[in-house]
Amino acid sequence: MSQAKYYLPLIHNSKVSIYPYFRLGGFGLGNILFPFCRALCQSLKNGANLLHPHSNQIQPRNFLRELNVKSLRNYSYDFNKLKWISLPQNKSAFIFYLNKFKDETHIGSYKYIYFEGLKNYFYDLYEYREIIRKFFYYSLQRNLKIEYNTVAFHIRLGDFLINNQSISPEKIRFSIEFFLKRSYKIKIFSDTNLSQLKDYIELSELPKNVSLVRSESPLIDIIEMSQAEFICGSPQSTFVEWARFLRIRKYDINSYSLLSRRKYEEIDISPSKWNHFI
Amino acid sequence: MDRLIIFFDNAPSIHKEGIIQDFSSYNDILIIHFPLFSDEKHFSEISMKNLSFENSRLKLIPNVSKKENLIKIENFINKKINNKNYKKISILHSFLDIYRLGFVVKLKTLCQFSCNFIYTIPLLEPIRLNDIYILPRLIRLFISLTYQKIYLDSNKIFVFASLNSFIYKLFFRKVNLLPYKKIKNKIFSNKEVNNLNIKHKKLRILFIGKLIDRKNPMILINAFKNLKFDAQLTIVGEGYMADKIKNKCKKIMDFSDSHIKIFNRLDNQQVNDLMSEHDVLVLPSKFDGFGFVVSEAIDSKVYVIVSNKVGSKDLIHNGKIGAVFKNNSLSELQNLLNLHYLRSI
Repeated sequence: MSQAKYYLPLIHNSKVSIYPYFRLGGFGLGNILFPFCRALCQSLKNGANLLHPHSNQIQPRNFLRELNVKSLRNYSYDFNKLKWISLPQNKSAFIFYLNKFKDETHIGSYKYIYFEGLKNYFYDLYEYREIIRKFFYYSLQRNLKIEYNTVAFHIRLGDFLINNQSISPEKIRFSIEFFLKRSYKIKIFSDTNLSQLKDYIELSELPKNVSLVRSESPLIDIIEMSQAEFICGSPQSTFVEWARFLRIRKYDINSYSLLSRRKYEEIDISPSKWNHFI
Repeated sequence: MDRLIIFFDNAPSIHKEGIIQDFSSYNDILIIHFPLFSDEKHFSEISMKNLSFENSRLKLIPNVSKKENLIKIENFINKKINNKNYKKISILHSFLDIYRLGFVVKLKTLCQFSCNFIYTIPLLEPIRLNDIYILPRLIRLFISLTYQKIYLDSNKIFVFASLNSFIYKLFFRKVNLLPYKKIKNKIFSNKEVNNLNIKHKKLRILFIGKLIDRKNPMILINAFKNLKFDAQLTIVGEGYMADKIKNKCKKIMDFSDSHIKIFNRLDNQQVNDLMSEHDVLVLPSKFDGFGFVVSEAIDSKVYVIVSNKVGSKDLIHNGKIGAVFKNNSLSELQNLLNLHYLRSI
C-alpha cells in the first residue's frame, strides 16, 4: 500500500539535542553531509518527503581548545542555502514528535526513517553523484566550471594536528614547490588563518602565485575546491573528498594525495580513486 | 470457457471497461447496464457501438416499470446462457441501493437454472470518510451490505483501491483490490521509469479534474505560487470553483512571471497530447475513489504526485513513478514538487 513517507537527516545522534532546533556537539561539515545526502537521495528514489535536517549544532569542546569560531562547527549558514529541498522546520518537528522513526535498515517496510552516521561514505552516494552535484551547485547558485591551471590545496590543521593526522610542514612546502615548478596557481583552503598557516609551514611569506582563500563558508569552499583543475590534499579528509565528489567526473584523475600510497590504501571511502602521490 | 462473469453496472466508465477487458481473457462476459436517471446524461454521450462486447451488452432504461426491465433481463440471460454449461457464474455489481439490488437477486435466481455455483460480488469504490455526509453514507452502506449478506450471500468484495477498505473488512471475509490492471501491467512491463526527466527547462505541472472543493485545486495553485524556480501550471476542468480559480490565477500572474493556463474542457486526444507535454501531474483531492487520470499519466510516463486520499495511490509503488503527500498539506506538496524539480536541474 502506497503512503506518504518521511525521511529525516538526523545527521548524528547527540545526548543534548532538541530536533530540529539545536544540538550540542557534532562532526564537521564533510561528515554531516553524508547522512543529509543519503536522506536526500532516498527521498528522490522512494518519493518521500525530506524533513528539515538536524544541522544547527555547536561543538564547544573544539572551540574551547582552539578558540577559533570555525571550531564551533555551526553550519547553519550553509544549511540555510539547502533548506529549499526540505520541509519547514516546525512542520518537521511536528512530524518527528508525533511519529516513531526507525533507522534506514527499515526503509523498504516503514515510512518514517531517519539517517545518521557515515555508513559507507561515498559508496552509498556514488550512483547519485550527478544529481548531488547539481543540487549543491543550484542551491549555492554556482556555475559548473573548471578553473584551469589552478590547484586547490587543502591543509587541515585543527583537530588533525591534535590527532596526528596532519601533513608535515616539509611535505607541504615540497608539494607547493612541486606545483609552482609546473606554473600552476595555488589556492590554499584551510581551517586556520594566514599567520598560523605561515607558522606551521615555516614560511615568512607565501610564495608568489600561492594564496590562502578567505572562506565565505565551508560549503562554498568545497564548491570552489571542486572547480580547480587539480586538487591536492589528504584522502583522509572527507572535506577534500567532497570537493572531488562534486567535480565533473573526467577530472577525477587530477587528484594529488599528500598521503603516501601505502597509507592511502588503508582508507577506502570513495569509489573514485586517487592516482597521484606526492 | 466454463466460467461466466456478468457485470451488472450503471453507466460504462473507462475504469470498469478496463476491468472487463482484464476479466475477458479467462472468462465469458455479459454486461448489463442499469443507469439511474442522473446517469442518463452521461450515458447518452457514450456510443454503445464504440464499446467492446457490443453484442454482449444490455442497457436497461430507468424510467420504465420494474416488470418491463425484469423481462428484458430474463430474455437476455436466457438467450445468452441457454445450452451453455457454465461451472461457475459470478455476478459483479456496483449497486448500493435496495431497488437495484432487488434486480441482482432476480438475476441470481435466473442464473440458478443453468449453473449450481453462483456468486454475487460487489465491485465498489472506496468510501469517503472525511466530509460531513459520513454518517448518512455509513448508514446507507450498512443497510446495503446487510441486505447483500442476507439476500445475496456475498462474502467477497472487489474494491478499486485500498483507501478506507478496512470498512469493507467489517462485512466481507475477503476484500480484493482491483485497480486498473491493464495499465498497471503496462507500467511494469514496458516502462523504464528511471528515465523520467524534465522535458523542458521549466517544470510543467498539470492538473486534470473537476474544479470543485473535493478535488482541492486551490492547494496546488498555492503551492505553485510559492515555488522558487521557473514553472508552469496547466489546469484542465470545469466546476463551480472555476471563477474563483481564474481570479486567483490572474492575481498570481499579475504579480509574478508565473505562467498558468486554464482549459475548460478537452477531448481525450487533446488530454493525451497535453500529458505528454508535462512533467508532473498533481491530483491533490481530499477524496478520490480511484482517480483514473493518475493511471493515464503513469501510462504516459508522466510523474504523478497525489494526496493520500486518492485511491490510485496504490499504483505508485516507488518514487520513480510518483509520490504521495498528506491530504491538504501545502508544505508536503511543495516539498515533493521541489524534489521533483531537483531531478531536472
